[in-house]
Amino acid sequence: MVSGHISFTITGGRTYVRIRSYIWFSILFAFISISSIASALDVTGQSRTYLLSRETADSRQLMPLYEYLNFRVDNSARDSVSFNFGGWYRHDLQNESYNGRSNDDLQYAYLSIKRWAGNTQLDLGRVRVNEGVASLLVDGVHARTELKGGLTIALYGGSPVETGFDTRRGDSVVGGRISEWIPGYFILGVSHLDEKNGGNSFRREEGVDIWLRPVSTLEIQGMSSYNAIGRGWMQHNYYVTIGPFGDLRLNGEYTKVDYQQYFSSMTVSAFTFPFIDPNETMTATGGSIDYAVTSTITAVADYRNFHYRIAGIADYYGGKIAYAGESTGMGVSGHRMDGATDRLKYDELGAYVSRKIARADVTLQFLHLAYKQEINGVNNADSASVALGFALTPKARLVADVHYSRGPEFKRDVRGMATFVYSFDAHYESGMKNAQPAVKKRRKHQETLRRPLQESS
Amino acid sequence: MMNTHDKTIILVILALTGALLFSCAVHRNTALKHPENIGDTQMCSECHTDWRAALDHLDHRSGYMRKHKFYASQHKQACEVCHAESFCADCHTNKEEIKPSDKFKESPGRDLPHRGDYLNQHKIDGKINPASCVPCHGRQNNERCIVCHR
Repeated sequence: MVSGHISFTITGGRTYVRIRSYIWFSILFAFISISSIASALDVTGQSRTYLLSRETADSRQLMPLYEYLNFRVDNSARDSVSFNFGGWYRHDLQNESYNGRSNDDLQYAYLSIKRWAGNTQLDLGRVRVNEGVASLLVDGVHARTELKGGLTIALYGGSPVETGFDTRRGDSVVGGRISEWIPGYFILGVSHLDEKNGGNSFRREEGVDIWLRPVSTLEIQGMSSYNAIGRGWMQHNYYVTIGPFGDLRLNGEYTKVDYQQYFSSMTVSAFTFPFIDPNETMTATGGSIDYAVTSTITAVADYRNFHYRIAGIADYYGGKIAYAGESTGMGVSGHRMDGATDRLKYDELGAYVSRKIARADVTLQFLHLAYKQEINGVNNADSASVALGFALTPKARLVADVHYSRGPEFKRDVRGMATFVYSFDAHYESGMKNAQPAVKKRRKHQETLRRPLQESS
Repeated sequence: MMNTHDKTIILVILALTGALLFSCAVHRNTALKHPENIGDTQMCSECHTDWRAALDHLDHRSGYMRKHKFYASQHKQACEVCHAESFCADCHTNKEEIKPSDKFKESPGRDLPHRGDYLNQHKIDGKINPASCVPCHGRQNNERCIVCHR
């Protein structure tokens, strides 16, 4: 069903134009809505402009220019209504990078209504949903409310935003999660998701998630998800944290994935059958030991074992030691992947240093890989990155990244990126822009928020 | 005759109405934004002694990266006290490689974010544990993957 004709329907054609019109209309509606009910508005956001330079394998020079913009508009009186927007636009200054010379994407755009005196939230628009088995972007609605006794109900529905392999006509997703919690001790949730593609059942999943903390030094959390169409468990994924005992903390992990059930509704061919063996089952177990050597130095040792029904066994293990000072950070790490065949074996060494000097900061990263078996006649891959940042003003920052690598894919690959980051905020009152920064104007609002915190402490 | 999409919307609207009515009985709230600038402090119990102290389990140390999906699902309102939506979008709906100057200076490894020659590395990691790619690239953020994996 998924293989063969994958195309970018979402970012092309009439469907896209319609979606785009709908989104811009929503933005306009949101602004009008908020401004009509609020006597004052706060706008906060960030603009990030990236200019990249790199060469492709066929020696074409690419120079894409990106603009990432995100902002939030809220009524500063109570902060109960807000509009959130994030999106980007790309234009290739030299040659075409991929998917057209220009491209854009709406990351999120939603009107959020939240009750000041309760955990009830309603989001309308393009919104990210994380509710049990659901972790997706939806053009629709998402609501969550907490009732008495720790009972929480969340519901969502709309059209899923996924990489299209056909049109979005008839696509819909609906689901929810019900959970119960006793603060500090446990959360138990059950969730359901039903997604249709072209009106046909595409994905139906159910899940149980848990968070448990019977004593302050033991925390268990995880989720089991069930494929209701394939009638089988997709994944069990659980973590345990033991400690801290002084400066020591232990982490454990257990994951079991049934490929037949787990990979049944993907939109990219690499994750579809027969590229993925439907008869395979993977079980990963492992853990890590974290030790705070001093208040600024941390050491971590970790191990993971991958056990497959068909492919055999793989081990991944290593460690890291890091220093985090006031203005300096540095660390080294080393890991070995010991797969079932030589092709799946490599050693990995990493190191980094970062330092702040007045308004400037510098970061260096190194990575070395040694493959057990040659790939394209090469045994090693090395890469190094240098990033130099300078704060022009408290709101504006200029950064230059240079990345060098050599390995099986490229004999020598040099990439550059110049970034300009500008953070903005503004306060508007009764339609007139106020010259004072929004941060100052927010003080009264913060006092209001502080009150319920103190009352219940 | 209503189609599936219409039914979905009606169902959601009905459920929302019920939920919103019930919400009048809510007995406590998580602040929309933390009223004080808490800087790097991540332990709620340093200041709070009530139920908020229990949010200490959200401290971002030791293995938090792998587990943050559960916290986002179970306690998103607590995440939102400090993080705006753009913080999640930076990774989850980003279409360009995340550079050290942007995020994760302290993470030169190849797990997340993908650094170095990941074009080659993904052939190995993808064979070892393809399920680990799915949350980010299974159904979305895979426009780059599709260039080769048609």
